[in-house]
Amino acid sequence: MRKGLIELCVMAALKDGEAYGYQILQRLSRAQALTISESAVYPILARLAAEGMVKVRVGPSPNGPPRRYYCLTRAGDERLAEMAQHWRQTRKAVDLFFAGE
Amino acid sequence: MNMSESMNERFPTVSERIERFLQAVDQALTQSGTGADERRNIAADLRVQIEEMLAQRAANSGKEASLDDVEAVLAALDPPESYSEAAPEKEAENAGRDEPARRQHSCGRGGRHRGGGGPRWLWRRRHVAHALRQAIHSFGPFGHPAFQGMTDRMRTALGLAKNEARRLRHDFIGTEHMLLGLLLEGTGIAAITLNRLGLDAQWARQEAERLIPAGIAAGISERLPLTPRLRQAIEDAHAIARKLGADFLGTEHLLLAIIDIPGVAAQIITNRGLSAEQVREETLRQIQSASPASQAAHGMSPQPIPAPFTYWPASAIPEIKIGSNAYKIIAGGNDTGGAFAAIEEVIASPDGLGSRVHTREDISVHVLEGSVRLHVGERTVELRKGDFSRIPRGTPHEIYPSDAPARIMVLATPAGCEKLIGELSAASGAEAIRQAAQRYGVMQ
Repeated sequence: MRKGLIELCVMAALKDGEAYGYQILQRLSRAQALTISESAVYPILARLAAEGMVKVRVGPSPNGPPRRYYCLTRAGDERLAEMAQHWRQTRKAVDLFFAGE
Repeated sequence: MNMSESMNERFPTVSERIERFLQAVDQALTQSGTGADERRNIAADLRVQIEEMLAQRAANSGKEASLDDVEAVLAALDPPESYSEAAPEKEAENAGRDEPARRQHSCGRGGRHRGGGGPRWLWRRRHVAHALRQAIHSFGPFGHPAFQGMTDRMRTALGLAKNEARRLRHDFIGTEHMLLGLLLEGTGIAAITLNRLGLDAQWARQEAERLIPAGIAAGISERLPLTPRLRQAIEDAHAIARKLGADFLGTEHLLLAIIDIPGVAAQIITNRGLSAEQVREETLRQIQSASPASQAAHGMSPQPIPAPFTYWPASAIPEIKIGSNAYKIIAGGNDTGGAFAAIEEVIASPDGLGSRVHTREDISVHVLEGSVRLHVGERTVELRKGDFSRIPRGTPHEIYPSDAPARIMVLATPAGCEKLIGELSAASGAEAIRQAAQRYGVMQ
């Protein structure tokens, strides 16, 4: 459940354009409730790349090894839309469930 | 034998230490059945993060990254073993298996597929129990209540303590490792206090090794248990933090707790000729002087105490000379509820104010008389009478008089660094100056 949420968040972080791994991590770590850390994010990015959901572009870095920028592929866009839809439904259902209590 | 030699035996270079960490991650990923391509991707992303964190640290200190910097960075990261935990949640859906079977299974690429079998509540319960065990036994997730509310510095110190235990081949983490962790962390109130009292990491390390000879723990165990004394110290530290009105657990609280626990750490402190009372007094003094700057550093907004209406004449403001430069603290943190400090500076020395980075406050400069040259990164700006510049915290800069003597008004927000001026005027020797500056988060 939580893993799926993190995957959703990782993809959502790429919604508005490319970003490199550490940058994605920094964006996500602001959502403290999810306690997202690098041992969760990087494996998910690697898997999304293997599944063709994101593609990688290598760009220079001012300090350190070249940065690897991820962006969503068309398939990734579709998967994100699907997952977001599913998430909204789930959230609605859970909210209703609590409201009924 | 000096510290760097003894370290070199085990960790030859900075980059080798990083590679070692990445290898451990790779191993953990291999165990959980992650493919080679993905492992390469993960290592590359992680490497970028480590190098960038290291570069940030080096920029803050103005020095090249050292092995201790690498240790501090690595300690702030998820431990390698947490990468082998990447799979259990997915794996757990293949419920009803016992622990060894799960491990065998995880060698294959079972992680991904969602197989059925076994009632859901069963795997969920196992999974929760598994997660709890991990939270208690490792420092990674910090899920246990004892680890909650820790500041980043405190977590770093804990990670470094674990490293020290490993380095000494001990199969436990005791108060002595924790003390070393606090010292090696280097920037927290605990480290500042102890350094000020004359206890440094190198001496403490030697003393710890003398008191507790290196163990023979074969291999490197990933899970090191805390000794009952250290556990007690962490609990006490929480109580102390509450009593001091802090809603976080900082290195200062743990130091205050550890000095009253009859353990090896207390022994090391005593052997240095320090009493618990001395350490307590100095720690409390440092807590006072670090606030609210330290609160800002903890990522909390400083809560300025409303300062009363204030007035004083020019004659009430003393001048402080440092070399050929002169300073007047027009208003300090005590006068402004910590919101800002206003300092008038007359720069007569051709060396200006030297090169520095303020890590805790933003600096604004307004030229009252004469003119100064300001170097910020690659840029050089000439500031004349009436001109203004703002230098955000963390930005290396140098200020020279181009038309000496120049008189400038400096606003530091929040207040804190003005106290350094008084200390510098009393300090003698480059090392004393450097240490004083470091205590106020000013890196030269």
